Amino acid sequence: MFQSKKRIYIILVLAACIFLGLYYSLRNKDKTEERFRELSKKQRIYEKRDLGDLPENYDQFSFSEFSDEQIAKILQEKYGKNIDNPRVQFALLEELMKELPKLYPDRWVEKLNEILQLAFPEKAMELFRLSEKMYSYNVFREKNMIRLGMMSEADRRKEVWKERYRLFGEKADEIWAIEKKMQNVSDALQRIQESPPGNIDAKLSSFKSTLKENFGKELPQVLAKRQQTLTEGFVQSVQKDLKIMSFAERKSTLRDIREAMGMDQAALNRWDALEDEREQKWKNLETYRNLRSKLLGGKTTLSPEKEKELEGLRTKLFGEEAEIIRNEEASGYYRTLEERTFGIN
Amino acid sequence: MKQIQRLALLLLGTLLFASSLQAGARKTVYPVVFAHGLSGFDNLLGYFYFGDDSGVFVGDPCDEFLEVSCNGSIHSGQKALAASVQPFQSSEVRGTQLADRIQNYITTTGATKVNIIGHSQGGLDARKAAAVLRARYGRQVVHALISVSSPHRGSPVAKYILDLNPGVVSVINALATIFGNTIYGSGNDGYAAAKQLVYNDYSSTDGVTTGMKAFNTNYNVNSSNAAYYGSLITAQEGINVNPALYLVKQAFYNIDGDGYCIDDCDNDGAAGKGDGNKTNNDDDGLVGINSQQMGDRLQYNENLFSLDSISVNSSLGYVSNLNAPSSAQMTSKASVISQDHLDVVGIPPDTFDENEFYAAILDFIVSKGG
Repeated sequence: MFQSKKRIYIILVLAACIFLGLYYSLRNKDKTEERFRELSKKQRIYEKRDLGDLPENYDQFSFSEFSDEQIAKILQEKYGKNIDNPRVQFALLEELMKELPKLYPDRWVEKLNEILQLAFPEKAMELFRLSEKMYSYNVFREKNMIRLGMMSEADRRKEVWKERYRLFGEKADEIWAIEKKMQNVSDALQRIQESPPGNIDAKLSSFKSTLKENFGKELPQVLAKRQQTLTEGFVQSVQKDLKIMSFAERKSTLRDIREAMGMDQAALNRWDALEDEREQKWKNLETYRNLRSKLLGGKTTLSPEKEKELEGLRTKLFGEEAEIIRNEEASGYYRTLEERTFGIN
Repeated sequence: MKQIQRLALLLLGTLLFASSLQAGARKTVYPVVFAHGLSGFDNLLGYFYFGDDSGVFVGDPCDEFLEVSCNGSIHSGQKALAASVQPFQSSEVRGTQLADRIQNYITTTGATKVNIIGHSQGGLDARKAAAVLRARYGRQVVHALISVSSPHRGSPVAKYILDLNPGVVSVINALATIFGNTIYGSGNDGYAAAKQLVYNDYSSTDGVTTGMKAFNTNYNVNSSNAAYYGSLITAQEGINVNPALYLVKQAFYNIDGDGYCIDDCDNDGAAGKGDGNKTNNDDDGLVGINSQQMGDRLQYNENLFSLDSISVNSSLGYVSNLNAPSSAQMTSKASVISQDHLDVVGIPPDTFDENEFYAAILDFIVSKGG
């Protein structure tokens, strides 16, 4: 009797567990993901249709005013040339996946499938499968946004790339190509920053090699577009080297770095003048700091007379910027306490 | 012969059509500097700040045929810089750093002026930077200064966090939850950053004067510092808001950001007051609409298959004194972009096209002579 009661208990508990498991798994199932899966399985083929012409003033139309054929025609024109490129495919799908749910909240996945077949019949299935993966990737990022945001950069990167490879395979490298390249550059700068001071030429050469490895023949264009960012990145990473140099040595080294990063003579001359100006500014800040601390004499505030004296020196040393420095100090920010970043400020 | 003519016309038509589809923003006269808000410029919750969903900087033009890792909606010759300043600091600190970065950029490029687009705190930093550059060069250096979702008159969330209200165990933890772990990097001061974003001086006993009211007095809209000021305003309701902000909004705070009064009459940390209805479309998860207008209120017009555009909503008038906007400028929902605080920068998933949005701003800057 006791044995059979126990058995019934176990069966009931198991049944409850199965029921709850099924309930939660069904409840948590994303209906859109389901729809993607069903349509991918079905592989419905839509009849080929003539896409016709677009109205002349098509750019004044809103998305909702276009027929499916017209949307397909526009997509062909806009993305057709580069449709084999995964990043272009990504951009095309992003655009459709942004607009279609607004117009067809309950059947946008079907509409997406249909429009892709109209616009790119040969590629439609590939694009549709990619859109399914993009949707899953977005769900992953949304669900994990805060958790990933709180991770260390290395851990976050590892987890995000794991998910990208799981969903997109090798295409992930092409979709996030620029991110990957910039990450490699950033890692190289980090290694330079962590290396001991000395041999700045070798560090510069290693940095330039990293740039070349990542950007190849595109490097001149990349340098033209991001010259300031990349140069500042390198200058930041060799602060330990710059700090132990005399002003003349540092100025000459910074000029060499900037020249190696592709700056022309006019730019280099402007930079020389700015380096002179900044050297003087930091000397002035030191003079100002010394007088301020002398006037304070261990107290935390100045008497009105001493404040007037300090103000006179501030104006003499910093000209029009003196008033701004006064505002900063009233808010608790003292430039004189900041560490100098050579070649940057 | 007729056939050849027809073919020629067809080809011409195709070319015109193709070029009109690809037409993007015009090139700005002066380069454009993008100024980021709280958190690092290349890392906001693990995303690139001014990047699209696959990490491409919105200011990178496509200068090569078939180049795809770029913003195809801007002019191929567009010059732009994503400037980097200390992720968590006051705008007094960050504004000076931004001025240094802009001075460096001007020195490298030989540009005579720049335009600045600042998101969130970046819009405040931009005002300070414009004043610093004016003082350094003895002339106006910034042409157009555009803010996006900026808390010009404070944010109640900043005060709520500083007050350690329910749900907040530490100022730093709360900022990390919203903006990511960058706050733990060296040189950051989460308290200074939060105090900056409260309208009034947060503490009368700390010996310093902080907050947006004093900052606005020092760095107000001023034609000596920039030729043109305009602002884009964001607000979104509950469920649509980014999960990170949704936590702020629902778990421990919800801004009522569309009431009018002079200064911060209800002491919630932002100028103006609530209208008694917290759940409507009156904030973007961090900033109320009554805090965001500076200069002109700008309207964003989306066009799917042609360039988006920005226009001025002239009916609301110009906010020339940031501490004294009119009632309509603080309460009107006209021209408010239905996006949350983080949607307009590189954080997906969203229904927002960052490339198109910033291209439209660049084109608008051109119309203002920048």
